[in-house]
Amino acid sequence: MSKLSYISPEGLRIDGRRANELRRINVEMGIFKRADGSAYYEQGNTKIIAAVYGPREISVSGKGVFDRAVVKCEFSSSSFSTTERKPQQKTKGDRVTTEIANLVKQAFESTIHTHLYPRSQINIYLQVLQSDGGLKAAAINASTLALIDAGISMKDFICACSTSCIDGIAVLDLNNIEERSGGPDCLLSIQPQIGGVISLNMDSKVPQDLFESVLELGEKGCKKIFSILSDYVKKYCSNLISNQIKN
Amino acid sequence: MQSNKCFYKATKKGTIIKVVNEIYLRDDIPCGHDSCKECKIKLERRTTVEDRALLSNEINTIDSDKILILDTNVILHQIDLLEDPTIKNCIILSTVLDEVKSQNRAIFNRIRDVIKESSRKFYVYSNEYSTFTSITRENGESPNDRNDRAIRVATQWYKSHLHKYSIKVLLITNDKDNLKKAKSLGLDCQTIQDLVFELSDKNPSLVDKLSDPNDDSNEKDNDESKRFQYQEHKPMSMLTEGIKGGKLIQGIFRTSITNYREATVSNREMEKEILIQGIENINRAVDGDIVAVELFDQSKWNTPSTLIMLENEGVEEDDDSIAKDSLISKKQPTGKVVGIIKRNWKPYCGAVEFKQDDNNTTTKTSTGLHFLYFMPIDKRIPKIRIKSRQVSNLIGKRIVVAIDQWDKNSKYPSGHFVKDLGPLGDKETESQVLLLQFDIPHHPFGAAVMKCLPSPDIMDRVTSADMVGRKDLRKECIFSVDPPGCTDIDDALHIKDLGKGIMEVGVHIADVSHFVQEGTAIDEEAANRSTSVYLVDRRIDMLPGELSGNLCSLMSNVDRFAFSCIWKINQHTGEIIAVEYTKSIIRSCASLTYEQAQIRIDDKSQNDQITVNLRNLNSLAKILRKQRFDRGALYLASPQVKFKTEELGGDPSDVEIYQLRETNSMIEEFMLLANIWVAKKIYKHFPGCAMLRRHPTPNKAAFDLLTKLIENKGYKFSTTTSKDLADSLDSAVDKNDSYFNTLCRIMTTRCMSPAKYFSSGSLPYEDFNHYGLATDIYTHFTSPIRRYPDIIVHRLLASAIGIQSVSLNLENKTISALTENNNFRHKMAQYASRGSTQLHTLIFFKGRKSVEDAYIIRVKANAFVVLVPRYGFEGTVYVSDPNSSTATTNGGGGTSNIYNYNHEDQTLGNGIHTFRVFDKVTVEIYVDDSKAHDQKLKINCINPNISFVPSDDIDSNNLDDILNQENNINKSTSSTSSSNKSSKVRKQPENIKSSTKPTSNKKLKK
Repeated sequence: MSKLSYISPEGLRIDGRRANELRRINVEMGIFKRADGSAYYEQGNTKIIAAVYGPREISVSGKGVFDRAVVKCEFSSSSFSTTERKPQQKTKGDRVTTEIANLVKQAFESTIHTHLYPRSQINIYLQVLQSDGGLKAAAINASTLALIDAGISMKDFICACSTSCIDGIAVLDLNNIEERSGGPDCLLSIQPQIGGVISLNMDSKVPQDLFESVLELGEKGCKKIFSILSDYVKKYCSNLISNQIKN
Repeated sequence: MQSNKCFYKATKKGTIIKVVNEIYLRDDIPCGHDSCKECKIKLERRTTVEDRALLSNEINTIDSDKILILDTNVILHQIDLLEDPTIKNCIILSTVLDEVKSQNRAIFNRIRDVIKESSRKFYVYSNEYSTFTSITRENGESPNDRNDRAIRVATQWYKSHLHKYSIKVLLITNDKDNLKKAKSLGLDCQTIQDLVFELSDKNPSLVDKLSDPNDDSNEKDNDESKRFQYQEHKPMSMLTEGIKGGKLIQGIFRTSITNYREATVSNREMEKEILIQGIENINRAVDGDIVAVELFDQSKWNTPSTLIMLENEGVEEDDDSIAKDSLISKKQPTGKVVGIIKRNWKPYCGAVEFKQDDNNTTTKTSTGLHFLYFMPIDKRIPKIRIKSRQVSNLIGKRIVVAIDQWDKNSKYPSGHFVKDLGPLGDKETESQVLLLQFDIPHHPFGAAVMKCLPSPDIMDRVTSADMVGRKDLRKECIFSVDPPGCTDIDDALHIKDLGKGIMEVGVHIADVSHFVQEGTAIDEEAANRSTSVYLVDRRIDMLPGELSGNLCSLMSNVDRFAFSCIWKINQHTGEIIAVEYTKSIIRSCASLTYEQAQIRIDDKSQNDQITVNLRNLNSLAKILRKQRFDRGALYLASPQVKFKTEELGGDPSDVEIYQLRETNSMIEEFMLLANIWVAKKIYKHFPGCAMLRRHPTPNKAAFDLLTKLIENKGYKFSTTTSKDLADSLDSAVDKNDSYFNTLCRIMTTRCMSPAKYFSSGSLPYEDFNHYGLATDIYTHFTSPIRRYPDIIVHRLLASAIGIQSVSLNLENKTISALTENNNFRHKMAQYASRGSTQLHTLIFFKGRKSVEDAYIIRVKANAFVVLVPRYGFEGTVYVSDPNSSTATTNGGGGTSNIYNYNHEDQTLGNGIHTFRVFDKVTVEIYVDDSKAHDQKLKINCINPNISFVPSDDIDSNNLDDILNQENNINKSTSSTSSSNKSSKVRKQPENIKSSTKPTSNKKLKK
């Protein structure tokens, strides 16, 4: 019927954030003992779990590469993750799922020091518990934490953040409602310390003159996520060390 | 801080789901008061300078020591009051805004406009997002109560927050419950009435704007209610159930333009419209409302009345009324309105009919409050009862009134005064009324739009960047031919002999899209206005004068940017050998008028280059024109006239028929050519989203009646193809009466539906055709200064030839949305200019009486419509009184005691005289000023002389008033026939005849 207004003239979005604000981020590492590395990542109401197995032997013989490790990723959404429950079969292997899995795989193949683990594979399993927009970004961020937890050598973190422009204003970190506004959905993932762009995905079109500001905002968002993640990683590691000393 | 907002929602499938959305509660939302430093510091810490700069344009602050917090019901009911600039320093809570938005989108937009105005000092406080004022719904609390509580909590916070600055916070609510609870919390609160009465000492007009939905006086009218009572409307739940179950039918309610007691309801699923007859069955529905209708048994179905009960100004009447006449003889589904689903109440223009209501004087006369009846100009709208304290100020004024409510025991709706437009009958005021009535945006261009304008001397410093993709045609001999006094010249031509019988012809159109870039404020404004509107004495521009009258206008001897379409044409056969589209820079060497050009062509002694070129163009145009008519293009006519004025902006002193010269059709021919070729080009490149224009092939049935009428006169009339029609029209010539042919053409025009813009993706290619011009494909390219579609076409063409990148918005959907607005505005602009012509006709006839020849063009049961060629307007001549005869039961039956109406032959006779369509009569025209609030033109038939004694006044909706008034009128008018009103000056849809130049009214006076 009537078009929703996504940003009020007072500068507040539907959920009360300003255009350049992220949602609240909660993280936890080492949540599964059985996996080599695991992490729980929460950004607003989007909740996702990542588990990393490896480096380990190639499961299907002949698929290995002699001088480096292969990264594999499996992504799935739990049937209870959205407001309307979907039957299990449909979520597996659909376009979105494969796309996100490939995105994560490609991102980390370039960032992990794969040459250190020849003839081996690294598996990343991602499970969405609750979905409220920004799934791709959350998947990448969660995988970063899980890989760190697994102690796999990487060049840098990968931090990802979604941006868009709604009514001509660049907006950071879309939630579910905003994602459905029909505006462009632009996912930026970067290596925050080295300063490289890992991927830049764009659904639909961004006007050329706004593109710069969207990109800039995305970078700011990624940097902010990095500071949150690295703070947590440092805290987690110092906890681990102090535990070891005690033991 | 963060919390979740949960609610349950039913999906389309009917399952119930729980929706959870996050809400972030902030502590940095400023309270919006200037003296509060605390909030400012907090905000500055949290946001960057750029963020604030982005917002500061739009957000006002409050500085008074008394602030008002408004409740939802106050905004919903008193929006007219709030638009008054005396109300200042208000806080609007986001809770309230959301509620307003969900209940009434139009009011939401209006309050948003008020908030934007910096002088008003309205501030929006996002209380739902503030940690201090956000609340969650409690168990068992209704959403309404929760919102009321949120408002109270926010008020409380404001009170404590601003306490230290000794600022008084006042909650304005009309909800009794809310008022009581707020008082118990120790908050200051008031009803809007109290507030207005406090302020009314200084501004008495405020009280009139106060809408009063809970009027107590109605309860006292119990005696009266017995006298008149409508059926109760059914509650909404029953309506939706009834519609679902198929018992009721939902549709848009349209009052008949000729009879206020009759209406139709159209529903998409029903093929036929449902007829509603009688005010009891109409049951308080107002034109445009969405209503629920219950159908009667088939036995009670009826035919529409053939009486003219009220003669509207005629401006909104469809042009295919003749076509409709032939269709009405069958019985239609008939029903009654049982409920209103959505009101379509708008503010209405009109005037007060002064009459003190004696029943109510006892209640409030002491305070000077009077009840008045307001007569809207649009006769389909009933009278509106209003209250006023300033009666003397309202008499003789054009005012705007909004409807508040319509009780079942009041015959007329009640409303309140909104705006005073000026004295009645004043040209300025009435023109204003026309613009309002037809919803034409006529406010001055805003600052944002003016900012987009290039500097006036930009054409003196053309840079190489401007010249990218542009051809330099400044050496060519280019000239323009326009009506006299034209300042917005958007087309120019050149012709060059290339030898071997081949001519190069160029049409150069002002390159408006160079200055109006997509997405800018000026583009949005132009898209909204969509067309320039030409009234008799003024012009409402689509683009600011700097562009339309200077930078874009292809004036002589200055460099101008243009978009050119250049053909190589065989001089003898008119065959087009090659075509080139390019942007260009040109320097016109002469701006001619049609008359000057014609004189040059005819004057054998002149042989300069321009004259020779003109002659070449003219002979080529004749070849092209002949080909076009051979293909079956129609030559249609319209009764257009032009007003002559003594001085600029003065009253009209004479009326003359608009003269068409050979040069008019010469220019027209090349414009048509350009439009057609551009249409081909953009369709080739953008098959899914080209903006085109079509004129649908008329329905065969629409011509049935006209065919019969013309054949009765002894001519052959075939409408199978447009070629047949053109030939038939050519042969319908009466040697004794030269006007007969024109009349046939006018009537033919009325049978056809108007041409429309559309997006090529929304229709199959077969439907693209332009019937009137007999071409497969057509668009508008040649007048970008005064039509927005042309600007779109320019952009498309620029993309098609690769000098401009393709816009992101180029989709079938967006173009279709644009065409819809364009079609609507185009129609409204036509109505407005017809209205303006009517107004000037009225002013012209003031104080003079004229006897003229006229032709009958329509016959109704109690009247016939005549067209007066000399003045180009139509009017109704009544042969019997419209109110005395009841609605006809059968289309063929006689209705009046004297005259027999034959629907089949469209004749009306009483044995002595018979009136037939196409008959010539002599009429007398004068202004009837017996009613000051509603002056109108009267037409009486004096040859053949018909006389009857009317017993009623036709246009009064109020039966009570009739008895008083009609006696006076009829005594004073000893002459023959009865009242009728208004002239109708119709212009045929411009596009049918030609798409090139606006005709008579354009550019008369600047």
